[in-house]
Amino acid sequence: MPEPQFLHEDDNLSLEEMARASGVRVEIIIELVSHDILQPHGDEAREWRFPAPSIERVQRALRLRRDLELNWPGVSLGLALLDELNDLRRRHRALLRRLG
Amino acid sequence: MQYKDYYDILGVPRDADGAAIKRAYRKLARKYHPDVSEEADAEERFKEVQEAYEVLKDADKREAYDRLGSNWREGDPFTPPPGWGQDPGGHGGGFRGGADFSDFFASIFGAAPGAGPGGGARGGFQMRGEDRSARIRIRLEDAYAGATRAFSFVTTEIGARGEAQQVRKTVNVTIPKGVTEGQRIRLAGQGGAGFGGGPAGDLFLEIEFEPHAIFHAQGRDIHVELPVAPWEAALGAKIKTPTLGGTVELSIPPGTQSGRRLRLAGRGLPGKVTGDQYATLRIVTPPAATEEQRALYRRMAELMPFEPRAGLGT
Repeated sequence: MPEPQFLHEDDNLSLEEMARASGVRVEIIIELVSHDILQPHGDEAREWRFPAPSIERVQRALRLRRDLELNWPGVSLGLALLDELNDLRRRHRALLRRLG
Repeated sequence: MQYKDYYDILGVPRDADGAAIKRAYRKLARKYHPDVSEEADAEERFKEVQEAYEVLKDADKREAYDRLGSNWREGDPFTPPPGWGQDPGGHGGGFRGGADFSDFFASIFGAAPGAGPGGGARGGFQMRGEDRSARIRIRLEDAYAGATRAFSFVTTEIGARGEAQQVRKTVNVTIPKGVTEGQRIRLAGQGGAGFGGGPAGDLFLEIEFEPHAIFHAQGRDIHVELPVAPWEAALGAKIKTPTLGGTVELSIPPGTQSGRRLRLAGRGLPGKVTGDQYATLRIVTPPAATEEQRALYRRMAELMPFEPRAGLGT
């Protein structure tokens, strides 16, 4: 049983660490950044720092591209809309709870 | 083993052309993709759809499937005719990893590469297992103080004979102090099984708070509604206020109106930037139950010329 690894928002990974943790080649990560699917801190690739939840985002992006036969701009749009949807769902649940 | 009606799963007639099959797949994939859908059985449905499409989009696989005949119905008991599935290499090309397909699929087109007895990678094919995600509900108190909670989930494992099986697993999850709603915990290697010796995927748990009788959280800030007596609001008072860290004293300034929000700095969820607690005051009217109490209210009305609806033009 591996130790659960907690993903802090402030854990940061370099480009290489990010590729290794997500099980993909570095080129894929660069591709995802160029389509705004990942938004690392830092300007140049060697300065990039990825927040840890990006690992899951890479997997989701790959799944959506493969399963829905999307191109990267389509994946980028899909993920942006899903983010918004999830945020709204969360706020909706919170409001329902407050209404009791 | 049960027969699978791939045409029925995609909702297309048996003579549908490639374009119609693709259209049907895309429509269902958008509906049931586990990354998109909130439906409870989305993952199962999507797997079926993926499997059906895997077969029907490929002329060779579709032909092999059609040769079984059209008298079968979804769910019929199915035994492959002798000689079937003996040459997985012939159909195995282009096998799309990452999806664990049914026994029925395996009996016609061969098992998933590497998932067979021995588990060795055939042809060097390896595939990392799928990541899974789930929501975990915790108490606000646990988010504040940190806790260890057992979390159960169902996952797919490849058994000794290469068959996929559903297994219930329980892991102890350490909830760190100051976790917020929507944050994720990653359990490395607890997702779907890999193929051909590939590593398992990860399990991601999304934090959700149980409804709390007193508090509710917004990010790291904690909100509470605080009832006060009219004299506390009018004259000012120090009142006891619940916080996640215990009771603290809150100073109410004189002349406070109902609905006013007071901030208790640093009394929210801990973190790099610790949250605050916001107390929204609600003035509660004491009941006028006895004659003496009613007299007191009347005396107040005399002493305090007060028109609460002054701004309404009545």
